[in-house]
Amino acid sequence: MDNVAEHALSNGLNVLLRQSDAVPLVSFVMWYRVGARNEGQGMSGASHWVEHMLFKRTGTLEPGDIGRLVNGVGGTWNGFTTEDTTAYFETVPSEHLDLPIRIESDRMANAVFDPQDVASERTVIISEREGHESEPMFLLSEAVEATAFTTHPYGHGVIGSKADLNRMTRDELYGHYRDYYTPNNALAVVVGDFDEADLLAKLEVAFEQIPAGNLLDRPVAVEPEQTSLREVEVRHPGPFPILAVCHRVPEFAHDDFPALLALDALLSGPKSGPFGGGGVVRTSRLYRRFVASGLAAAVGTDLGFNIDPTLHRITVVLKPNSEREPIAAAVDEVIQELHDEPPDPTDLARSVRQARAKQAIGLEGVSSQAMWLGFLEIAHTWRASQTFTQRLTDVTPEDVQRMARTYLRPNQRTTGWFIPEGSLPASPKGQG
Amino acid sequence: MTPTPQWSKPAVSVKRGVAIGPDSVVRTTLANGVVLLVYPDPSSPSVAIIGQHAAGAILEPEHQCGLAGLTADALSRGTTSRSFMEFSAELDDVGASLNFGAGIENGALSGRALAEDVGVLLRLAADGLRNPLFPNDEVERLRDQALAGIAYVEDNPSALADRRFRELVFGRANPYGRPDEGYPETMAGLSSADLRDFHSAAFDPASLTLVVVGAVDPDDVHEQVATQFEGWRSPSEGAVERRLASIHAFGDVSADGGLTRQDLSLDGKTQTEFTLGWPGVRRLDPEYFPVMIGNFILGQLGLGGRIGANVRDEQGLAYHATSHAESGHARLPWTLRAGVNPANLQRAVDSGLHEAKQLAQEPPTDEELRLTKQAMVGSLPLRLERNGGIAGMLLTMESYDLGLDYLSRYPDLVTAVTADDVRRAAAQFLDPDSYTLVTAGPELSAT
Repeated sequence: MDNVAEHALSNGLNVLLRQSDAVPLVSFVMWYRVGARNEGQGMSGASHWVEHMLFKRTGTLEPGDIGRLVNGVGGTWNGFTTEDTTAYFETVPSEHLDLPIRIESDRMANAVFDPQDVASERTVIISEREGHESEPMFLLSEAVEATAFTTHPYGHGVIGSKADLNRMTRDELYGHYRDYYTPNNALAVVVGDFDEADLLAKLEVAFEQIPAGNLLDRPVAVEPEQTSLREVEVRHPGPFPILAVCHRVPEFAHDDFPALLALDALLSGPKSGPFGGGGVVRTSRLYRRFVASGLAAAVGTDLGFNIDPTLHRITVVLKPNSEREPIAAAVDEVIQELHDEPPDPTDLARSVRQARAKQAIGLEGVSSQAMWLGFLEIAHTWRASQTFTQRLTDVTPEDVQRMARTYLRPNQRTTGWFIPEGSLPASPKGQG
Repeated sequence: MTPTPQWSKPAVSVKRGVAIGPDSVVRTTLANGVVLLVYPDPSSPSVAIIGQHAAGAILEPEHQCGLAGLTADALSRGTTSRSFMEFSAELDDVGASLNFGAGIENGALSGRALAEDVGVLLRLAADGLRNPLFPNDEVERLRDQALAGIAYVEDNPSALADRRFRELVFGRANPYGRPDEGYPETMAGLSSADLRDFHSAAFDPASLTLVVVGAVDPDDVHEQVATQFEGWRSPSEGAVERRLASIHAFGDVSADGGLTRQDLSLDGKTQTEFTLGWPGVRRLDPEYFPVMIGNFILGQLGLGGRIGANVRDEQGLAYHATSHAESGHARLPWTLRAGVNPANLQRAVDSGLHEAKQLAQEPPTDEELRLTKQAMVGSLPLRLERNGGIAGMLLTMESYDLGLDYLSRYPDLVTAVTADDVRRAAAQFLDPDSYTLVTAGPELSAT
């Protein structure tokens, strides 16, 4: 992505600015380098809970104010937490750019963590978790991650275990906030219609009064090399069996990542960004093998844009009441084909063309551009946006074969099954 | 920090200096009735097309519930000139996407591509709509996929609560009371011949509206649409009239003056989801804007409006607690929804009803009204930022005959609503003694 200016404020806050006057809007995304990977024993879910607390009270804001204020100028807002980062965004008409600056500078330093707010948010987050537990895919993913990562915190998921959510104290949460919410551990990305000098001056006034913090030198546990196939089964009431075949793969900054993305695109189609999306491409190998053939109901893949080594996932949703063995065998065959032969250059070129088009379409709008720049910078560097498609174009069929042989191996694999068990159809009880 | 955002003049000029209106949107009609709207936006590298036509689920009989959706899904699965894979490859070769679907009132299509590939989208949209073959094997596979989708709904508390809510409010004899995706027993009976018959009876160019937004030339798009669609004639006319007659016959359900509740139990769930609501407003009713403003205050503003503030922020009962006001040519539901621990279900339901009752009894505060109006008007640039958002807005304007100058009138339509208009609309629709409630989750008596 061109036309990006990089700045650092005196307290270490990194700033990325991209001016675009195509629409009278501005998107402000505040990123903190903290997520599930920074959570120790007993603290799973702390980063996500802190994110919730930052919509509560500061010295000047009451719970609910941020949403009302941003909605009240015609804007949109939210926050999210991943394995690697916690981020907050406001996209507003450009004349209201002061509003996100005031909100983000306020909550970087002044969130109160009132004990009553912590208590009510504890049950809200447990409710969020219990909502996820209705989803078979969530139950399977949680089990697979816990099996694939024995040491690294990617194994405990973003939302956290119910035991930790019940246990964590207000002071521990506040400590997590104080440890990681410092300007020198943050990144502000602003895309849209603004005057750069004017915006920089405003950012200096709002943020430079917040002192730099001590960056924690707390090492993240390194996951030991996997040396054998791991398997996990989740038996639970549910609509259909689901198979997840996951392989340990390197982090985003690794030189092999573009070739892995190309391999992933051949399997299911290119994603339009780190959030996935773009849909499964119908001419892709997995769609043809499983869905177009009628073997299964749906298929998808996922490749994490992560700071640390992560997982590539192949997921197959079976038709209700169908046999599991042929599905597992068919996934093995698709992987074996990648080992045996480099892909047809025409297929690879088509995947790259698709990726280019999906990028162009996916990056329409100031919010998605600010998200893209921030995600890349958190995972490695925003400059990857400038070389992304070229690096994909440079991947050769032999590179893809090498990726399959290097990473899609049984010793690096965790296979997870969701197996429906004992479920009964919904039975109504009513009055009326 | 004293957070009082200033009122700003509503902006309907989305792209610099170009308002979306009669001067910038080109509307043309083909001889067979196809309506085409094009909004050129040279600054975008891509193009969005969307369309709708008469073949919605409202035209399917009760015993064939799911037919409109299955027919739409099958349009790309083999035509007179392309196999499913050939159809898909033409899109995939250029990174484009094109999907057909069906809702209750309309059949629909939507596509995205780089602007230079708009011709691919138009060619394939026409081929799918005009020339589908509905091969037996493809219909079988789609049916299997649809059955998996239905199995998901029947296992998912919020989707299941919503489905049953509509069944209870409208009744299964009413198409508005039936799920677009069908039921296992109705899907089982559908054959390729049924799809062909539905295609012949319900797909009519006279009902088709196409909207194209992006870096395209309106004359060029018109020419391509004319080439692709002008020769299309419907084998049996009258789909437009039958659709309107069905909407007229089924779309005016009213609350029956009682309280209906059903609790659905699902194995293996920890959370109870509920949908509580009433028949709502039509898009063209005079109460439409008061209802939309009332709903925003009740369950949207900030994090779930008054309901979110009460159920989530104050009581900590739920991650999501919101209200939703749908509207169509029919009176679609106005609902309150939340997901809670079953032990907190009654408290959450009572809190939601309390907020609905309050809105019906007391006018909203000046501050709530001010913020909501600013939100609805001030968000236009955001809603119209992307090609898809502009296309959706143009399609709504055409569907409801709002006029190409609608966006210039919209701020006045919103700002004219008074606090008492909102209270009156809430009192008209949100009767706290007469509503339908469906809960879905773990067995309630066991908790």
